[in-house]
Amino acid sequence: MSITQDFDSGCFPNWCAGCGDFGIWAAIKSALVKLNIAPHEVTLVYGVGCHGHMVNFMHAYGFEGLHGRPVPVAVGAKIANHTQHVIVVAGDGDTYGEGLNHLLAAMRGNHDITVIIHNNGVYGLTTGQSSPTATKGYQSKSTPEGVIETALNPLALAVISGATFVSRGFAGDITQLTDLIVEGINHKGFSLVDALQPCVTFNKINTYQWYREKIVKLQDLGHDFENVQEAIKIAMQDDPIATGIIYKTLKSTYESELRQLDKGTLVTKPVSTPHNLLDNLSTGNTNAT
Amino acid sequence: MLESISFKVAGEAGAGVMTTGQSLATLVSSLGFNVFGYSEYPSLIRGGHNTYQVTFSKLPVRSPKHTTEVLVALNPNGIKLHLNELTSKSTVIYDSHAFNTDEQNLPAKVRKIDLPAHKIALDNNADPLMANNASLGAAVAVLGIPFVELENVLTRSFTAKGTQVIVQNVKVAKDGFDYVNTKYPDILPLIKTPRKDQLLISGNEAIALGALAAGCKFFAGYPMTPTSALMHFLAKNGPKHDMVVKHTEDEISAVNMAIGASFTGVRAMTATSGGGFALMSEGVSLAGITETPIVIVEGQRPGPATGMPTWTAQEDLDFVLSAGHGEFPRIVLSPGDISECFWSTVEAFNLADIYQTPVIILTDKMVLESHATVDLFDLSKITIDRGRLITQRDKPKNYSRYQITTNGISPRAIPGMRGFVFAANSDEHEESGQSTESDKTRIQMTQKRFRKLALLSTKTPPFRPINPQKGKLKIISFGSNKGVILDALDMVANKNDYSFLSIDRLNPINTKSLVNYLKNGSNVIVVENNFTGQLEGYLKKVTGVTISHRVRRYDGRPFMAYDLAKIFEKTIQKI
Repeated sequence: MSITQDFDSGCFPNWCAGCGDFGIWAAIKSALVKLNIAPHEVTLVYGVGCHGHMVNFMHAYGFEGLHGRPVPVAVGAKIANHTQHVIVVAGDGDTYGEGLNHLLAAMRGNHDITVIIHNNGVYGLTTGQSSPTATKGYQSKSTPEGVIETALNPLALAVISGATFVSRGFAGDITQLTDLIVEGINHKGFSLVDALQPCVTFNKINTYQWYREKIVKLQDLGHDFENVQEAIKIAMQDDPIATGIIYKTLKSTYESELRQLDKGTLVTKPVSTPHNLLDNLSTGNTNAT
Repeated sequence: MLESISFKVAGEAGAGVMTTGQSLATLVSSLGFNVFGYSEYPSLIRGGHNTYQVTFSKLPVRSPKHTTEVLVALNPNGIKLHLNELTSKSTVIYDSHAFNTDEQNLPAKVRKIDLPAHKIALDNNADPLMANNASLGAAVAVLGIPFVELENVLTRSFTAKGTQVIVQNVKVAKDGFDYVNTKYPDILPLIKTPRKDQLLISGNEAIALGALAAGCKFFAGYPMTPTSALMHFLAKNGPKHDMVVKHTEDEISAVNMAIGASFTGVRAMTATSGGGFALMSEGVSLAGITETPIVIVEGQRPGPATGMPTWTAQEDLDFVLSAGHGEFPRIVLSPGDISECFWSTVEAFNLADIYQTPVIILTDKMVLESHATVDLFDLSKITIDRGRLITQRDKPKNYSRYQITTNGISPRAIPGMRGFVFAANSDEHEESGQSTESDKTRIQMTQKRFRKLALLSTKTPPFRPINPQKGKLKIISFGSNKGVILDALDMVANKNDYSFLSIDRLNPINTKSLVNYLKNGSNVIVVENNFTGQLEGYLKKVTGVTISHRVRRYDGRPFMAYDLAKIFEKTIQKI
């Protein structure tokens, strides 16, 4: 049994008042409680950005790495101990920008990890430059004339790149976001939870109000999330913005295909010298094969 | 009688040069000879000029020989590019039906064997590539080795392919062997040596075996010459020792994945060359501040950028000693030969665990992709030390991952343990792991991390140079030049006139021991494979000693013992 307070580090967040990060933080903790996961049974790997400060507010095994690189750290952690729950907490600049290659590779591998992205369209920590999910024309300090590029579509990308659980939530709807994180953690395979999140300080367009007017819930629409064509259609649509489980399928996970892990985790295997290491390697042994 | 014999096969990439050379290396190793196998090849899959040279002797051999006694030429360049290696004791085997051989080019002193290798393959209904086996059979005849020895080697290497393949390979080789025995009966007298149990392995394989011997269970890497073969060996042989090998999307991922696995408690490693290491350097810094053990192999090749991918160099010394932003302790080892590759790797994992910091094994193409015979490693001599790793039996009591201790080493828990929950943090942090920007903590944490290096400095054994007191000329090098220098010292007029120190641990370096060897530097020669004298500069930095002599090679080729011997003799006359 775990309770929400088990995950409090005793250090209160220093995010801006009203920041969407609070909602995501609350949802992660509620999801872990709902799943009855204790703080020592989960490893959270954080990227660098406002979201990464969560490492200080969460009492659970954690690793705050480099900007853009939490996904490979998480994959390594999962392969080393596949009985541990491994969750990536990252931002859109971090994992849809700097580290997108790692995200694609982890989705292709269907590693059994859950990736939760704080998606607010800006780089908040470095004072609000546009992120890869900022819409075309979005003006920021780094793009005063407006973003020229087309916005990245992380959900459509996930569906076609091998992710087996693709979902979108909203930091302003903690109940739904909690359920999506629960589903994502329960899912055997790679799960993406894209969490739309207002940046109250720098993003004056994508506000709570703006999202509330545009969001529709997929469960109310009767969406068939096992249908890949439907999933892509939903992912490609930007108005209204659909939240919920967009795509879900079952495929063997990377870890389940490693025979070395059949009889226990790598970390529980003895760290010792194999006595048969040099067998058959001597060139003097002409009978060897 | 020759003290050592060099066999070389030369031809186009894709013509089976490596396979043929390695078969002969395996054969002479099985006879008990000491062997050094050296390959040269361009960064191409087809075409270009490839060679594989097998130097063997009953005396130690540690580098390729400058002459070739038996040359198997598979194309015109196979002769043309190697004329200066031929002596009156050389034999050249070629097939004048396969390519136009201008015999006039071959010096009269050289014995020529025109072997109809392709016809032999054809007569046996074999693939044209199998003509190489006829050449191999011919070479074995020239060397005076009984055919049954080659038959054994071929049988072993083709076991997996079934009896029919074995029989055909052996038959083609036998026809080549018989052709020489019938037409050229004046064979080289074979030096006999007792058979022994020994390994014929590459530096890459020695490091891979070292990792497995150390209980490493996770390897992440991205292919890059000259360390790709390290990943290949582990991918093939690792799983039966419960190792997982992950070919990642890039080197950045490789180092971060290894860090993730190590953070979770598994001994983890990655390997690359200079370009890949440049991508990894942010991760090296991450391992430094999060105090995550990790072993990284950096196999040097000539840069900058893509440089000359398949050749050798020692150009990354400065880079490896300083790579990664910010200041953090690192350990840098530089094994000098294939045997040291094994033992340095075993030690690297212990050092990484004990000091909870990145350990870099700095090596190069010359040692990684060459093969040599080594005695079977005595596995009973291996100790595994995981440092201050907490077990679940320890009682959690106000656990702090980054506890400030007198020697700088903090107790290390791993995820999954009840009661030790912590976060590793790439931000500067408090003892608990919480981020901080406190000036006081920053100073304490920086000092704590560097106390680990200070501790290791006190435990770093003194160097053991060869003939340190009597040498009139003191030679110093690091890494793979050890072998070629030892071979050069077997060639000089008076060996006792020379001292030699091969540096196998670059950081922390035993400065006292180094100064004791260099003295005032006035009769010292530094041997290194770069243009700017990185080792010489580093020695000056750590000891303050100005060194009098230097020899540098930066054309991608290793030094030749014969050349170095001449340089040493010339230098000693000037002192």
